[in-house]
Amino acid sequence: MGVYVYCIVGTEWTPPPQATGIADAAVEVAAAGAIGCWLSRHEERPAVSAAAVRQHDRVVRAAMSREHTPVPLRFGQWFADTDAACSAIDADAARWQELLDRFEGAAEHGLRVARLQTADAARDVRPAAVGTGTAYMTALARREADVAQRWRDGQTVAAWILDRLGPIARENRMERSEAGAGLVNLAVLVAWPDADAYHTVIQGARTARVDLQFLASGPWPPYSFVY
Amino acid sequence: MSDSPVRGSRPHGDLQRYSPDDELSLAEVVNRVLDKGAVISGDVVISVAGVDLVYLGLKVLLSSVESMRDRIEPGGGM
Repeated sequence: MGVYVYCIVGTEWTPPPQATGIADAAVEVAAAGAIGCWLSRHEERPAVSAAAVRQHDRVVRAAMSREHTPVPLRFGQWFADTDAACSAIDADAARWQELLDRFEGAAEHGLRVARLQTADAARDVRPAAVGTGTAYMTALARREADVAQRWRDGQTVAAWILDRLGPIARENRMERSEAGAGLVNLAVLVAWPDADAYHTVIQGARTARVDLQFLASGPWPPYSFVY
Repeated sequence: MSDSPVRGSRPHGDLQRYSPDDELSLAEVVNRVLDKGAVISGDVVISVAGVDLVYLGLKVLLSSVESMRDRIEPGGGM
């Protein structure tokens, strides 16, 4: 028996009545000093699955509103009981409060930028696809050069987008895309009143750069901004 | 295991407006829920079918680095 914790919240944020989490377990709030958390009780540590991951996210989303933004936790936060969970949270109370204050009134928006695939870009440069040692090394060098160039291009595009967003982007996180044609993955923390303006800027970027693909997602709980 | 929405959740018009749940690809959710998000304690254990599949622990990570260093430094290679 133990408890599974979904997110850190203010102690006054109570789960909706009948709210259920992983495996249909009831979601409840527990207080750790001035900080709260949403958790559910289970006989065993919940195993990872597509359904469990989605349900974890849904519980965190249920804690989110224009007024309140929870600190989303990573999958797998498991404790022996409520006291153990609250004790661990309380030990880092200042950190949680700082994150709650930072996130208040905002949500994360995701943006994946990729090149539109061309026949040339889609050519197979996997080393295993060639026969001789020279061809292998050439293909490897070409692949590495392409990865490096994509990252440079991605950083340039990200800077261009962030410049257009200006203060709409309260914070941002940038990471290298692992996808074949991907340039960069951006996460942007946007205040709720600026959400429409954010989407207008992204739409403008689509129009201005028809050679690129912009895949927007969100709003999300601010998973990307907890560190 | 349930894959149903959180029952009884408050109506969050903004969330639904910008992000209908069925448009969220599993990859986007997995990327965030498994790879991002805060960690309360130092360890995260993810199990599949009762088997601990992924163990992300600072102590284990440090131990692994130390082990690797020990294996590299004495003989000059692994």
